[in-house]
Amino acid sequence: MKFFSALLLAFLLTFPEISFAKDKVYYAGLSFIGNHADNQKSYPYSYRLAEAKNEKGIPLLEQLLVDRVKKVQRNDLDFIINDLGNYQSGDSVSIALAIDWENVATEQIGGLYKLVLDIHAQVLIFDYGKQKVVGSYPIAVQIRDVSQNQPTDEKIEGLFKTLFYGNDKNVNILDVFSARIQTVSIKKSYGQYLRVTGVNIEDKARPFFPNDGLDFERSFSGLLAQSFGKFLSTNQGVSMLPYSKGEALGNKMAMRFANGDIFNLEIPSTDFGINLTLRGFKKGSVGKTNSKEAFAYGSYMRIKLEQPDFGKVYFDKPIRNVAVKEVPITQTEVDDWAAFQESLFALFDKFSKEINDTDKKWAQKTTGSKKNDVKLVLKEFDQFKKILDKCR
Amino acid sequence: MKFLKNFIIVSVVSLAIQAVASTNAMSFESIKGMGEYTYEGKFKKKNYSTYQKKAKEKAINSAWTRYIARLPQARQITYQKLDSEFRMDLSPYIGNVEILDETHDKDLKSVQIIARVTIFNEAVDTKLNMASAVNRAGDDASYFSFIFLARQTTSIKSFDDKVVSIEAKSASADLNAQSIQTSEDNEVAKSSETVASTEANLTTKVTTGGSTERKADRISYDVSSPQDIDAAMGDILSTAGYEVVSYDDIVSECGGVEPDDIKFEFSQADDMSRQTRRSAINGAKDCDVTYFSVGTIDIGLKDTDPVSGNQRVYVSVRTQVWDITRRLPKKVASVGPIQYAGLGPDQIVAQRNALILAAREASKSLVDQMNAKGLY
Repeated sequence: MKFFSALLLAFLLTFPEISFAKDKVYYAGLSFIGNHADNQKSYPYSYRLAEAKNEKGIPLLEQLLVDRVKKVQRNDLDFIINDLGNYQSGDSVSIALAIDWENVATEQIGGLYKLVLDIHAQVLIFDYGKQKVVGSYPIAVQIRDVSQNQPTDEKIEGLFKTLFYGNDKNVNILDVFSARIQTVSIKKSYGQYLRVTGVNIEDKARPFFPNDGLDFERSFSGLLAQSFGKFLSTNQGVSMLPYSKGEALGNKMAMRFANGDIFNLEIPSTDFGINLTLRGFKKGSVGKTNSKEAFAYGSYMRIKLEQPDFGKVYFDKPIRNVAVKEVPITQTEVDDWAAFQESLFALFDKFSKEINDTDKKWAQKTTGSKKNDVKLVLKEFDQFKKILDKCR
Repeated sequence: MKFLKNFIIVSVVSLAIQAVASTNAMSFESIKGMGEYTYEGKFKKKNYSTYQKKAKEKAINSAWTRYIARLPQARQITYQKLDSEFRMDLSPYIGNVEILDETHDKDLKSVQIIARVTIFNEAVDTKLNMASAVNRAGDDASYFSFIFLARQTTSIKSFDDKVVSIEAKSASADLNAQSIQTSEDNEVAKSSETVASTEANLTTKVTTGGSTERKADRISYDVSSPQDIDAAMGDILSTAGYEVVSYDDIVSECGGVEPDDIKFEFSQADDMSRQTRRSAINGAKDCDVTYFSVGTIDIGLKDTDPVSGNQRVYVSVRTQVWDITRRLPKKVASVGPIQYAGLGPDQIVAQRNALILAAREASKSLVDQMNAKGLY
């Protein structure tokens, strides 16, 4: 009897992880992805807000985030928080809010200034011991504002504060993060890794861009990749590695925390890559009355899912969506770009939802397929679904 | 009390188990491979596991081929001699095989598998090292001695360009009924006489040239022989199977130029003088040393790593190995110059990390080159 007790005790001490019902997840904090030297330039407003400290000298945003994470209760996980996160005390899995994109877009339409602010981030899951990314769930918030005067720096900073700790939960990245960690699967390994590996923009799309130039195109490519990743991850509950174009050996991701810690995490190699091609946009009038006119905003994409090492393709289809927007006859200037983006993101949302139980009519219409080809289209959707199952 | 005693004993035992488990952890690499097996005849369900197994084997072999292609060239040469031996049984070098994708195409009669294969680097290294000539030689392995010096620039004396300018001038006159050309040094004299109605045209040709002599900067170095470098190099060479002997011991036992004299020469120039090199080699030869290596690691300036914000120091390493058993030393391996960067919270740590990294990588490359040539 004594022998068995001792054996049981030895077993529990040797494998402590099975002696507790809940797994431990270390909360690591708020961080910025990218080179340390570029952080201030890449995230001018978020970085400034993250640097602000409370009366105890603790970064304000960090404190607010800790307060939210403390409230998260899960049956399967315990979030370990010691003020700024005692994630270094073991080799358990750790999580962080990793901000990877901040954007300010100002546009003048008919004497009004339209302002769009975006923050994109990752619920990043990593292995501290191995300094390796384990999984990631993209999240994003956006705020829009229209005013008669050109927006000042103070106004923009004020709106960014709303994006970080405003009252509206839908546009508050800290709340979106804490809501996401309440539900997503957090584990030490996700088996297979999915990632958006490329974004191509075709010539037919370019005339509709609000700005010319490579800077806009580069930034919009990033937005497309991150938005698609966000919809796919959220609607399918699948972990996705952070977007990066192509893949080099020894892929690394630098991350700086609000407390000054710098990590250079290894990103696992991609098992399945998604390539997005923006084929173009189209706008046309679809009806007119005495008081308003309806416009159709078409967005055209191509989505390809493949095994990047061997070029094996599982899904490769053109997809499209048309969104209708009614405009009062009296309105002389229309914000076409916003309507095209809405059409595009609605397509991402619907597409990522339809992968599970694909509607035959929707698939035929969205892919522009002939009736005879629908079976093959559905087969490709099924292959997409099977790949997602492997990445959960 | 008894329970407490048992608890302590059991705790110690369990900690020991964990310690053993962690020391067994090996460095590994995950490589993907794809394998396809095409069967003949009609598909039979009962045979599917066999098709699957064969496709999986091919996927493992494909991953192995991709892994070998990533090895340094010198290591690949050593590997080629052992390829069939390795492939006969890959199981000691392979861990987990995870099937990423499996497709059965009944029309093409093929089963295709894409797998992620874990390969144990250290097991492969050990096998390659064990098969090397030096390891097979066992007790007959050669003595290997080296002098590796770290150099940091203390002063740079630059010389202005020496410029020599030469200018040659010549003039020619073309005289005819209407014109006369005259030349007197560089001045053009023009005469015009109303009565004779004559004109003078003068052409002057100036040729310039010369030479610019540039003199290389005279650089002085602070030379040291850090223990970290000796330890890092000794570790790699000993593991590879060489009998490493200290140059200090050679000087004590068999003579040869003093290490300080070598350091002094390297503080003034990039190489040893002929006499110093001869003296060092003769001393080593008298002590039955087969391979003698001299190398330098030049420490560059520090900067800040843009990714991590840490201090970063670059070093540049170059080294050569000579077989000194014959009358004329023969160069058998050579590395560099190759740059390596070390990171650290301050300059001292960054520099130390860079030196250790450079010494380890340079000695690994030397060993690979010597193994590829079958030297021992």
